Amino acid sequence: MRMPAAQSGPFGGRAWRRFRRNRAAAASAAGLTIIAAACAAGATAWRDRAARADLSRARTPPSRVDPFGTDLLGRSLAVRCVVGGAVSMGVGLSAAVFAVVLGLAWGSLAALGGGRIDAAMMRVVDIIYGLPYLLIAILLKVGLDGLLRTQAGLSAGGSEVAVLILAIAGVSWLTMARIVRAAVLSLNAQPFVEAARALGASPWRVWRAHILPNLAGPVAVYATLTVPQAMLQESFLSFLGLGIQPPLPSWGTLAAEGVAAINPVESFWWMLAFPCGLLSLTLLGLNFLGEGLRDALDPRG
Amino acid sequence: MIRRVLVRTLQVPFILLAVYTLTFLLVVGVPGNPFEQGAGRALSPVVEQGLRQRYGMEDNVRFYLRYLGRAIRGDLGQSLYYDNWTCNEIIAAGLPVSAMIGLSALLLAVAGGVGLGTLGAVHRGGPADVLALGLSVVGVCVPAFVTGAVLLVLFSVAIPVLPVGTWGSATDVLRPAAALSLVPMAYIARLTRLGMIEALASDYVRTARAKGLPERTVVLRHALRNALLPVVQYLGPAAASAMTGSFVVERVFNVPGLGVHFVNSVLNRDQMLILATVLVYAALIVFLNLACDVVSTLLDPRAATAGAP
Amino acid sequence: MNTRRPAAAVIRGGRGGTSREPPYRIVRSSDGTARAEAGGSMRRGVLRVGTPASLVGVVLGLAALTALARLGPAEPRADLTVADGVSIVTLDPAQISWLQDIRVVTQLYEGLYALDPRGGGIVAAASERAEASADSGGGPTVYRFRLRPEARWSNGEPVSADDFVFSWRRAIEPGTGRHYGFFLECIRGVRPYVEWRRREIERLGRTPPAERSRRAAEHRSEADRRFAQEVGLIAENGRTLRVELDRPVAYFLDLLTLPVFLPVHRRSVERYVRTTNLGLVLEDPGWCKPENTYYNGAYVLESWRFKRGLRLRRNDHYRRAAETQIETVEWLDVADANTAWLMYATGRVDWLLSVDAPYAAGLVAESASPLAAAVNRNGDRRRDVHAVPAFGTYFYNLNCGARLADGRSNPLADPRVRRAICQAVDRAQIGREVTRRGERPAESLVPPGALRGYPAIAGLGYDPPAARQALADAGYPGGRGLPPIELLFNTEAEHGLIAQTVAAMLRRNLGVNISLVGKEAQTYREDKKARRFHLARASWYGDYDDPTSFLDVFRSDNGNNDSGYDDPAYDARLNAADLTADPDARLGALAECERRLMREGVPVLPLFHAVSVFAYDPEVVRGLVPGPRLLPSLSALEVRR
Repeated sequence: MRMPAAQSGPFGGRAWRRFRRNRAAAASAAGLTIIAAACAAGATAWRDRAARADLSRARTPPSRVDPFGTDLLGRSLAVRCVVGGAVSMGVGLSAAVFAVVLGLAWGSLAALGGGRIDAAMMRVVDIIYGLPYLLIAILLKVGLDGLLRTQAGLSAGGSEVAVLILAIAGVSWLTMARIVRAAVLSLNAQPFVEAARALGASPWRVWRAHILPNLAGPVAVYATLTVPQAMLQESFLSFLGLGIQPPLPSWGTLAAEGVAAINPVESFWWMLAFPCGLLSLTLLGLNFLGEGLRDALDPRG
Repeated sequence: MIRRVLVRTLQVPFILLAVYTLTFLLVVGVPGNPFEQGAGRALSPVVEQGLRQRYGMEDNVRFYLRYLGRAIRGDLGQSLYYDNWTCNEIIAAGLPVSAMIGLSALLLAVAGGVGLGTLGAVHRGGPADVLALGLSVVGVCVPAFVTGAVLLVLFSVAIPVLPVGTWGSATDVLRPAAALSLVPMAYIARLTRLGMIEALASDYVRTARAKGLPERTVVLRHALRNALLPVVQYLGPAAASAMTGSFVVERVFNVPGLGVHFVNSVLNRDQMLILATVLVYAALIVFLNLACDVVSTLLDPRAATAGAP
Repeated sequence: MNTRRPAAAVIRGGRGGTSREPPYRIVRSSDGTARAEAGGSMRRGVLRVGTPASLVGVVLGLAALTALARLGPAEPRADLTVADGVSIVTLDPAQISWLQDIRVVTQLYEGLYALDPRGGGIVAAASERAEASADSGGGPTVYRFRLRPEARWSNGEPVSADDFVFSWRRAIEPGTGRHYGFFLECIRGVRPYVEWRRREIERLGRTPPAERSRRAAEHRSEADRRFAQEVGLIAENGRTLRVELDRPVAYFLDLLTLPVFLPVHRRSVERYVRTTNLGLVLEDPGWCKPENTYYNGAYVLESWRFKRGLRLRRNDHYRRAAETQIETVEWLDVADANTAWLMYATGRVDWLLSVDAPYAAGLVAESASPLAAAVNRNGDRRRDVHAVPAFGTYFYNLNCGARLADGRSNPLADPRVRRAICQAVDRAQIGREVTRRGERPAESLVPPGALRGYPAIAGLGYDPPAARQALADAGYPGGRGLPPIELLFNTEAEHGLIAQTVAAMLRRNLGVNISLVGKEAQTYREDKKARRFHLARASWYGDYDDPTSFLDVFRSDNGNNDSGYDDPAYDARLNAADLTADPDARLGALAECERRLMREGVPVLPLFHAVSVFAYDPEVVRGLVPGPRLLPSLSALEVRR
């Protein structure tokens, strides 16, 4: 990042204008805000309706009463999609936040530690990066589950979601660590940081006041790109039965149910199309947003 | 330079040991009894004790050391779930299959992606561009299990072209490879497209055009070569993940690859097979790293000095 | 000028985004021509494939691995292709517990008795006849089986009683026995022998290593002596096997159809057996691979590729080889139920042994099966999907203990609460709307009509007012005062859907607040064993044709009693009923036990009796009589295309 200290922060005027000019990114930002707001509102209003089953109306296609149709137990798919969206996006955001915090800490420590500490820490990242992420996600999820259960006697609801978030974050922080490390390394070599150090500022102060603000750019970009990855991983874990547990819906579980409903005998296309469509739109928007941010902050010449 | 390679080689056993220990801790820490596999039936403590002794798993420390000793000698243990098979046999059966699908998927991705990207760059906004964009969307934004399931039904029921679910002849590679190639194809198409756009706008292409060379030579010989550099760099991690990340595709298309064996071993708590698979994966990746290091150091000594840790 | 861009531009690849920084620099040389040169940013990353040469290395490596995959030309199609929709786990009769394995192994080996392929009952198989004699009144305790002279292994050797003794002994020895070994405990002397072995092995573990091999050798010969003298399993001569039970078992001949009683070829398996210095009997399980052993069943294992499938070939030495019409069988290993159905639908598979795809209900509805009558739509019925009642029941275990695993008091300890729960669930609606395979709603454990002479038990039916009354009597009128009740289930298949439906019914009819706890299969199993639940989903399939196969589960000392149901009166009643000499009176007494269990004890909430669905074209695969026990015998079939 061309980030001389003179600039107030990553979102200086030029970057903002560049961002607005990228129509896809701007549209995505707007669209995502709408979807997020709708899901949040719907989730609070319809939390119980999502579980209301009416077996006599199971498996009906979209109609006026149920705009997205009903699922295998007669629950309105539209309501479930809205609540599910809140859950998925919530899980994705939380996992991304954890990943960012962990990656930030790890990358900064590695870069500022230097030498052997740096080598060792990045080796760890390389190793975990090389392992199949599914193993780590599953083992983390199941292991933390067991740990929480035997320690605290919790067995349902909130703790499951917390464990899922931690498991996803546990495999998503690696890229962030690498990025932060490279950024901190380059910032460290900048004259204004050396000046601050020469003036006697403690390493912590140097990091917090000088390096951290200038990291906001790349961190924001890759954080935005981590959210869709986290959401995809949540959907995959839900497909395996390790993710969000019923009756709490998420786009991942709805997509998994929809996949199970594809069959050559009876077609329940709406059970797959709507959750998958919403998920894809959101992921697409997040990707455009992230790329737009990256373009705005780091244009090519 | 040689010193660097030597240092990296010496690090390998420690890395593998670290991976083994980490995985071992996770594997024995996870709740779930690997022997309680009978369809819902209880296992008496006497029988379980006998089984544990049979596999050398009476207590964790002994298990750790014994398994390590055997693994160094190449014996990766006996699968606890599929008890007629050794882990060596299972991995030897599954790894080439996964590798084959991965390789085919990569080849398809490169061929398709480069082609689409080039066409898209040359005819901006045309059908190839739209198709590439569509692929990107599908690859990046639709979960793999959805695309896999849809492809399965599409190509076996709606368009009954190829037989379903078998694995034994060359055509059986096509569908799983196609499903797996979508995501890398999307990335490669984008990378190629961007690289081509830049290359086509660059100075020396203008020079080449001004020299009167035919458009096709300009595109193919000059622009493409430079546009491909980021693609080549992307292929490294893509190769690793294609070989190891094909679980969903393998499950949906009923391919007996290592990805499926591995996830099932985690779900079944087959501790021996989990350890064996992780060790094999880690060893592969570490050795691949090392090989690439050695080769690139040999070919371009500058790489040695320009490098990160 | 330094054109290198740090940070974002440097990191690339992996699963994340792509950077648009050109990885090369344009370098102008003195004569004005330009060329591209790789920039410094290309040399980062884990796999440094910045240079084409290393990429070639990667590709070559993959290609080498690929060459090992040995994709050859397709094998010729077998006479019959079978698939199961679940993977084969093991082919060792002593280790088996899964149904799909049992189905394969019953083609390869033949025990003393076998299930009648024409449905219902058992027939003498390897044994020609059995003589049963009683030492005292109350049923036979000594059986002598005369083996058929024409029973042979696939290498021509006759099947001898030694093979049976060796195989049954494997099933109880520490180190080779597994889940079904406990069925041999009815044989005299088995339990003390196993106890003695375990103690000796422990003692050997404590001897100093120098002495160990000598002690182990002593122990081995002592073990052989003890087994020969004290265990009631004797090969009187090559063709006669004597079995002495320690108490009369009315269904002993039925038990003999279990895979744990199948013989293996002693001489070939013995070569894979060794006894360690710690006294353990260890076996190299590779003996199950084809070509390593011989078989006495209708088929021989010709090839077995891990997770791909097996090939079976007709065993020409089988005693009824002349009547076996199908010569080669391909048994495909398919792990995904949906894929299995597609393979059947596209003709790759002739006979699908279990249709478990999520849309199985739709298939049943379209079929001509009598079970489909309740849920059928109009139109042409397909004749190739068959739904039959299975010998099993799907239920929810109700935790009967006074306290839960974490010390909280358990409201379900009061049988009135359990009764209320049973009567508040409309099982017929679950069968109609959720599972839709024509399952019968269950009020008992034993499926009605499955056992000849055993009456249908009337348990607790759907009766919301009575349920509410029972709950009020227990002190929780309208569900007030009850803590959230936890329902444990595993998240595979339809268990989640059923759980949500049951939870909704309980909430509606009783006002009880249910908390759904869905876990992945292994964790669910752990939690169930540790009794961390109020309700837990379960199912039980009968192993042998007797009500005790279900009723024994709720004995207070049974390891499968996940409800923790502990009623000494029930145990006593069951014992008394089991030992009744007259078979009809015995069944009547057992029926009374079950009735009282289901109406008063209420250890479970029965939901429905299971239904198995399979698919085959009756014009092509002939001679198949689908029955509840579902162990088809391929030798009785014929394929006509």
